[in-house]
Amino acid sequence: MWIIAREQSRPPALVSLPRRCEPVTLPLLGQLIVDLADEPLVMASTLLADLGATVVRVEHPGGDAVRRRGPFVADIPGNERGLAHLRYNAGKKSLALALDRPEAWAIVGSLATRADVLIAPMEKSPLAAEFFAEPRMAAVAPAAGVVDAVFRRDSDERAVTDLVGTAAGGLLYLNGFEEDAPNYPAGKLAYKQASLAAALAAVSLCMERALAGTGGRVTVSMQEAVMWTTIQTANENYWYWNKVRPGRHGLGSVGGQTIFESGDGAWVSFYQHPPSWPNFVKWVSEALGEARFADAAWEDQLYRLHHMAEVTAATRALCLTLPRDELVREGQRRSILVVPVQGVADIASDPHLRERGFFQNVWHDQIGASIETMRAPFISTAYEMKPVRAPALGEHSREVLSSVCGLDERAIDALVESGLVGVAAPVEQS
Amino acid sequence: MTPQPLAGYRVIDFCWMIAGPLTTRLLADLGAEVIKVESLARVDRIREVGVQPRGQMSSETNGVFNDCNPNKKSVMLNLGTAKGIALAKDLVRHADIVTSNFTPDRMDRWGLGYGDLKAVKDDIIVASLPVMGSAGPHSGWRAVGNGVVAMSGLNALTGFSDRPPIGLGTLHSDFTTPYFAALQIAAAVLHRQKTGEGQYIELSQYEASVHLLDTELSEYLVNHHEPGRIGNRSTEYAPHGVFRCSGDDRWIAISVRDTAEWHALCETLGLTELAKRPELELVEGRHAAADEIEAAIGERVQGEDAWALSARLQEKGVPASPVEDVGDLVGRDPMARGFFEEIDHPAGMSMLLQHEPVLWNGERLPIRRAPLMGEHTEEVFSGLLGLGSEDLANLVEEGVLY
Repeated sequence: MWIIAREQSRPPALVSLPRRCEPVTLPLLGQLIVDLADEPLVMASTLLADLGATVVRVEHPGGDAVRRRGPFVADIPGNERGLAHLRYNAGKKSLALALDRPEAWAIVGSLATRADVLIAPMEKSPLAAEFFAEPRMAAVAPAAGVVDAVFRRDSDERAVTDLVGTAAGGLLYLNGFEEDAPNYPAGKLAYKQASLAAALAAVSLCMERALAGTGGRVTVSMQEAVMWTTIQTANENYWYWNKVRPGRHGLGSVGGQTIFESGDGAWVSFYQHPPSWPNFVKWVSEALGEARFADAAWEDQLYRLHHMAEVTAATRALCLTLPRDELVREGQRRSILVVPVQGVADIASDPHLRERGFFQNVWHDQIGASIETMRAPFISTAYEMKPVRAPALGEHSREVLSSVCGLDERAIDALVESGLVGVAAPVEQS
Repeated sequence: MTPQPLAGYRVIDFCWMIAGPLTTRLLADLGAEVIKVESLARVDRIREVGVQPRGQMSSETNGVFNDCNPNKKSVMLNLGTAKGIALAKDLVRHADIVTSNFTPDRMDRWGLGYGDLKAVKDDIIVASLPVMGSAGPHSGWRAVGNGVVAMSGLNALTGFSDRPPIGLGTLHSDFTTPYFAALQIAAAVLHRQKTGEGQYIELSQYEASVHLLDTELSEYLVNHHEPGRIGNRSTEYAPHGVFRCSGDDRWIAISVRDTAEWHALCETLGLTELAKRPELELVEGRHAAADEIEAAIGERVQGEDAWALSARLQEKGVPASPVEDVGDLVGRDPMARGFFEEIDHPAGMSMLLQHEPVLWNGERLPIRRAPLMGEHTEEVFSGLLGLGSEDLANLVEEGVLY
């Protein structure tokens, strides 16, 4: 047995909130979600599981793309060791089903009759497409809600990766320097945005099902989900550019340059928020002896926009006067919106997140180690977020087939024997 | 008409800027009656900082404000007065959900903290979306979307290894945080339906944005590797890149996930020699030869129309898309049609509203323009709280209502 968890100088403290009662109930307790999502929507049901839903992840007995994706714990590949699997399947139950066989879909149909919501894959096999076709779903499980997903609306295009999703939704084009190709943003943001829309859709379907007895079908478009993150430019285009291309933002975001180098060669985000303009004027005067911004003309926001290059130059000079962390402290002290550009090492050691108990350790039987992970961002007086581990492949096959589908042990044994159902190998305790 | 599962729920919305108002917009889209509360002393600041139409500069016509506040009602209430606070509590007495995204102690200082509101309405759901969260050594830090993105790791991980970190070109977290928050609020509604209990919920925009990272943070926590910026490449797929096509600043994004897609790409682009090389059958070999493969693709696609080539690649099952900009999405791309709706605004101009990225039973969720400032003050205080016209006139006279 070996421990991967990072050393911590002190145990994480839980966030202090007004507490009405002991945490008893996660809000989605009792909701049953059947998760057949492929990679683009896999995070949707992770969030639902975080909030207490029973999520049955239906996956191939050989492992699916989420499980096979690296990097892996200690760089050793395996179905139980992928960091994507450990994150996105956390809190779910694993039912291993040979989804390339038609009989498997009869079992999915049986699950569907008990489910509040099913989440469909974006790229569907012929069997999956047949199952999720509206007439069939309505006949099999008329009360269940369905979250479906497409890459683009009114299109047969199906081949999608996160890169392609960010390109189709307008996010990719905005990133990078003019002299470079548009630059792919980190984080798999097209998948994330589609998953977020799908998660809210699933809870909406649960609410509607509780009210009306049936949920219906919500279809998420990945292209539109990404477009949602770029909407602040839509009216700008409509009013001004009229199909003149806006160009890439380099070190900026909307409103000009926001990323600046600090005195120690690190980077900060420095945003000229209109209400904090007087504080900026005072700071550049004190730090740089720069007095020009005291002129009354600069109080006008439009004037500043038209002379943004001068403001940017002064901000650049100001940022170089202090190391990053001092710059942030001083800026925040002056109510100016300056924060560090953080890498993952900064985030992992951030005392703010540590004190809020954002990082917690979760024991994984299959790996034989404790893994440090982040809790979900949801805080409430009614519950506490405690990360739980991801399931072994097929760990809950017997439990789900018995308790949800009502099969007896002998029937389950036969399904396992036939190779239709996979079950997890018992873990050897060391 | 799509289902409206939050019909009958009333939200008193103190949010401002983008992330908070978009959260309550998502609730309004599901049928909730969202009453946006502003005062002249504290108008929603996004009215000042978003894009304005040509020749206009008013609080009503800001594009971003109108993006964030469709389907809502607007009241103007002076929270700097004791009567204003009392009226706010009266609104809460008739409400189910209260939302805010100020720095942590603002609502408490008004006397509108969770304890105060729970005393007024025992089963109230109170949601707060502070940037950093209400506790922790940096809880007082101020930032807007681009700062939250910077803290979340996304900037540091985007770009080329020998170049600076890159801004996302959008206040990205402002558009993702609302989904986390609306999800948590909707779950709280389900909880209340089952138990009769309200709750206080908090969503830190910073924590939600760190959740937008993929495996980069886990890789550091677990394996102690710190991933760097890798440009347009991928650790999973190869080739994976963005290539210049014909036309002004026109590009295509292509990624290949497996051997079948690799051969389909080679066939479509006529890369017959590369297709024959056995060491390129697997992704490891293609990673090793990435420079050579990307140069070959770049040469083949430079004279191609990005849209036509993307369609040919998709037909062969290869993930591809033209790199679309907002002009394409608003005007050219037929597959994005229907996402935007052109409306006439009472201020005498037209603008675009955007739908949510979903269809429910094949239909768009209903959308109507954002309210004018104080458009529903009289309706809400008269209809909901039963104030007569004389009361209203007196309150306006006293500067409590506008």
